[in-house]
Amino acid sequence: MSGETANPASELDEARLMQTRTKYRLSLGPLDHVSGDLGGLVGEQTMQILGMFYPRNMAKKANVVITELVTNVFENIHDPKSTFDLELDAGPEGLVIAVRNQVGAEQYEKVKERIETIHTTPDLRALLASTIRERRAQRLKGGLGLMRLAQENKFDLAIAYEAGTMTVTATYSTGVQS
Amino acid sequence: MKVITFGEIVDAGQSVFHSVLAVDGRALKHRFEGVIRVDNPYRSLKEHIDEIGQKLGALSVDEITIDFAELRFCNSNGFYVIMDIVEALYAGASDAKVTVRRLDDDDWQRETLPILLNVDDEAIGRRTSFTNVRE
Repeated sequence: MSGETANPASELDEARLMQTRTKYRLSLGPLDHVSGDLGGLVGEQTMQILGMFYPRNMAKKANVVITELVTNVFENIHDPKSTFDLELDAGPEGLVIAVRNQVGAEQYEKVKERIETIHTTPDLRALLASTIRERRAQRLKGGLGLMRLAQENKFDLAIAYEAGTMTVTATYSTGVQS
Repeated sequence: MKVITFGEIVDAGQSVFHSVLAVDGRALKHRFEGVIRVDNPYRSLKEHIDEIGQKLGALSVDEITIDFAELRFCNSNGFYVIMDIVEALYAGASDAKVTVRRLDDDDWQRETLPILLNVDDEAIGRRTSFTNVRE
């Protein structure tokens, strides 16, 4: 048995609450059974849950990243009978959110190129600003989400592709060691 | 304050977003409330955006407050309607000072909103100041 005494949640200060570890995985399919705004629903719910333990700003980051990445899954369905996975890991050191779904090689290359552009641009804010203006002129949908996650929400983005499955991972670091 | 134009987004039968322009003497207040999550917000707000320009033409305005503190979420598709609305406000009252009320701990309001307002433009930047509020 542990010698530690449990504290009532109401007595925990912000620093103690921040030590909470939150992990979950959502796996859902087939994709063509989804007709509503799943990204919005999961994003809002996650924000509420994380808001119990972590700073409000971190909970909001999770909402934005889940909304953007899950919306991308449903706007680019490669196989309507496939599933997608969402994994979240939150703790004092930050937030890692990975979204995995089946895509064609062409779609993967497109996303990879966007992430490479984000990594190599010398001024991400200027790139976001010019991209918003260009796309606004033609009222183009999409194309801003990943840039937004990196510039606005300070996520580090990574991408992997294996056997037709793409994984986009967004990592936010608080700078605190767990 | 008298409301002079009002825009709304209804999603799945629920009113989820309001854009409200009100006037009090020579002061305007534009308030954004709710969430923008829909695919094409422009479809719901086009008439409202057009009306802002028309209504402002008949008014003399010294100051504008644009309030984002009740806007809880804005997806990337919402960026363009925010730009349309603030552009109509700045253009419709071209001598007015603009105070932008925004949430202090909200990344999009701290980072991306200044881009949507175009405060990098010298003339717009000169007219604009920010008030940061906590939720």
